[in-house]
Amino acid sequence: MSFTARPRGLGVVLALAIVAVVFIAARRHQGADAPFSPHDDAEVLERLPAGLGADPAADETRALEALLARQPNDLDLATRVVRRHLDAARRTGDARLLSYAEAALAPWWSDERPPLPALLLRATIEQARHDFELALKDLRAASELSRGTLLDAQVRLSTSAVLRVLGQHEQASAECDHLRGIASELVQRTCTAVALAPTAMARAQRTRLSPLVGAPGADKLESTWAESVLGELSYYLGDTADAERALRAVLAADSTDTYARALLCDVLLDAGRPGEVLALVLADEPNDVLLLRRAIASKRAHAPDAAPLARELRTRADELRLRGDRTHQREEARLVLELEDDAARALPIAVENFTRQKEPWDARLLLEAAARRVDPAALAAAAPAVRWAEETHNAWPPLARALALVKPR
Amino acid sequence: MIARAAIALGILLGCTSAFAHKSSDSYLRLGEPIIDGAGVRVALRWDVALRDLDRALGIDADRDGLVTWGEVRRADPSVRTFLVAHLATTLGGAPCLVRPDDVPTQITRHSDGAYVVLRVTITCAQAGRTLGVDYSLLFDVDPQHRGVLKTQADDRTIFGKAARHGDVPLGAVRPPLHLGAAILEGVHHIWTGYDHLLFLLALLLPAVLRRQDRHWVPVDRVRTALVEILKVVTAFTIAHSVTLSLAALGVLSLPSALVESAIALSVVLAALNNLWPLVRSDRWLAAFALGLLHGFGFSSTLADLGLDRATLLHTLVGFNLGVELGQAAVVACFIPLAFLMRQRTAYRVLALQLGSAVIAVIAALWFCERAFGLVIFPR
Repeated sequence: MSFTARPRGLGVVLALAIVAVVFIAARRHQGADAPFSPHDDAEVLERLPAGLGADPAADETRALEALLARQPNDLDLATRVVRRHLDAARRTGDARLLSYAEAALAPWWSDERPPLPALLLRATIEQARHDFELALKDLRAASELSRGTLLDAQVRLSTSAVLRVLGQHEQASAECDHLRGIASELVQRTCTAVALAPTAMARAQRTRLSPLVGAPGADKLESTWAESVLGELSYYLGDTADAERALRAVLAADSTDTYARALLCDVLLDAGRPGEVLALVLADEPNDVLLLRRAIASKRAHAPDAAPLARELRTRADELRLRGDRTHQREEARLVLELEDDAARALPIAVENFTRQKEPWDARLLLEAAARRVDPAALAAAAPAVRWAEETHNAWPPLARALALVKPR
Repeated sequence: MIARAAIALGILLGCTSAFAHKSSDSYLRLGEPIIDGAGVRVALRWDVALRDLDRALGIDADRDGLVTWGEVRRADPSVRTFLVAHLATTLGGAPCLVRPDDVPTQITRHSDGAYVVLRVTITCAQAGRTLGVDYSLLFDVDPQHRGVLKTQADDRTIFGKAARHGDVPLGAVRPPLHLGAAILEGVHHIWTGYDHLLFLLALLLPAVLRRQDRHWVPVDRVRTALVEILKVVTAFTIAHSVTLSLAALGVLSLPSALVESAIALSVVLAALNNLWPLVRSDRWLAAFALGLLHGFGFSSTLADLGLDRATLLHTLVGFNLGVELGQAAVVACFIPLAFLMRQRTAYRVLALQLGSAVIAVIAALWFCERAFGLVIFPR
């Protein structure tokens, strides 16, 4: 039997059929949540996060919670439990911990006017959950009770932070003025710098703040905070070297500082150095905000884990959406825009996000999504961010570039 | 000191906009309602996070921060009691019975970690179109907990602390899977269960050839090929029917991860045997041995169809029959083609050799995925 065109053709068809079957098979075999039965009793299925697992701190929290269960109306006890959960939440970024804190506040959670400590803690939880309007309402109520108490400084700081997120920079700065005399000069200056960082005042704020950082006798926690704010100011001023120096110093002092780490990732990504982000955030990072940066870096550096990371983030975003959670829209807009390259889908998410929070990144994402669409409807959708940029006179270079593309000439 | 601590908390939380993982959710998936003389039955798959169960019940018994499979198994009775105590249902105005199925609890993964998978049957005496559901899981320890319930028609109900009741449309209530439907499910499964199909193909490819002087040569008569195929297919069929029945009746069970990995391995071996034949004359014996394994694989599919005691027997028979029919159809299509082409070099080179090599590679990748949890094929 010699080779003729026909049998070879048939063989090729057979081979192709096998390949086709296999491809469909490969797709079907990936049931994302397919159940399984582990083989071995010793197989570890879940690691409980720090603060809930094996460490002494976890035992202490459990003991306090057991005590609280017997006397749920003991506000001092509840405050201690809430603080522990909030502190762990800050370090791990675990949203469940906020809920445990809420559970400890159950007797006061639905009160119109709870006592000051409960009010303040409730506002803190709402703020961490991005319920900014609710947080502001509680903080306003708290400020009526806090005058002259030790908690006043914290009420002012929290109010200022919430106002900045809402884009009310002058009011945010005014809250910081109330810190005079009740907090250190460093805290007061840092508060003001945070409040005005998104505005044209960023450079002046950096000039005023930097001599205070690292001054002898300063509180370590306060200095670290001020340093990270310097990093943020430098980033918005387009000063990559200074931003990087400050943020690396913060991470050297406190490697768990998620905010500084995420900021440093952004600095490096904007500077076209994705390779360094790969060392800063590992691929098994549980924190969505950091993992998003890692995935963007992987994509830009053509790392092999780019596609699986993007899928992982997509799964997380879908599950958040399923439960009706809309608080991660900044991250989702960036995921869709930068990893899924879909400006049409990113735009409405960025628009909705900007109705909730108005920080520089929120404006930038909205402008960038609109800039990639360049149709009249998209440009109209970006109008609130254009207005924000004009009112704040924000000079952040990437934002200015996106603005130039979007703004009608 | 107090003031200092208070300020520190404000500063740090003010900065934190970064939250990892979602909050706590459980996932409830309702099966299709089944009606018979005794009333209406609805199967439910319920996924609950191990973290949440630990929070409520302390299933990490040795408090080492690691939840092991052994700890989950030991806590299983209390987990079952705890879960069904927090789910109440009514249909047609009468309360229904919520009871865990008599099958082992399994594990699955969602984006925030490992979950137990509990199978539950809701049995209602009255008929009705809307299932009233009252969900009260975990709200005391986690006020942000949500129960996400999905029906077969993809209707969603989200339960929360302030929304504990939901009216869930059940859709058309169907009678139990009758024999015909069970047969169709079996046919469907063999046609879409690609590992079984590839295994069968690997066994069938050399059936129209025989070995002579370390080469494949075509068989002379169609009878020779048919006898060989009949032996192989019959052996495979008998073997998987036996294990499928044993597994479905609950007599035997194997961890699904192990079975799935072994099935992938069996496909690799069957394909490699075509390239470097070790088993030649007694290929039906190999088919029998590996068929035992594939039967366990079929049984997990059968479990997904919502087996219940009342309809077990005819579902089992029907499903098995369907698998055989589906298989017979594949054989019937394959044999004439292969027999006609057996003389051609292209058949030996492209279909047998290249085809077997491709099958071996794919199955090897499946094996790596299933045995080591790697992700190779895109979702």
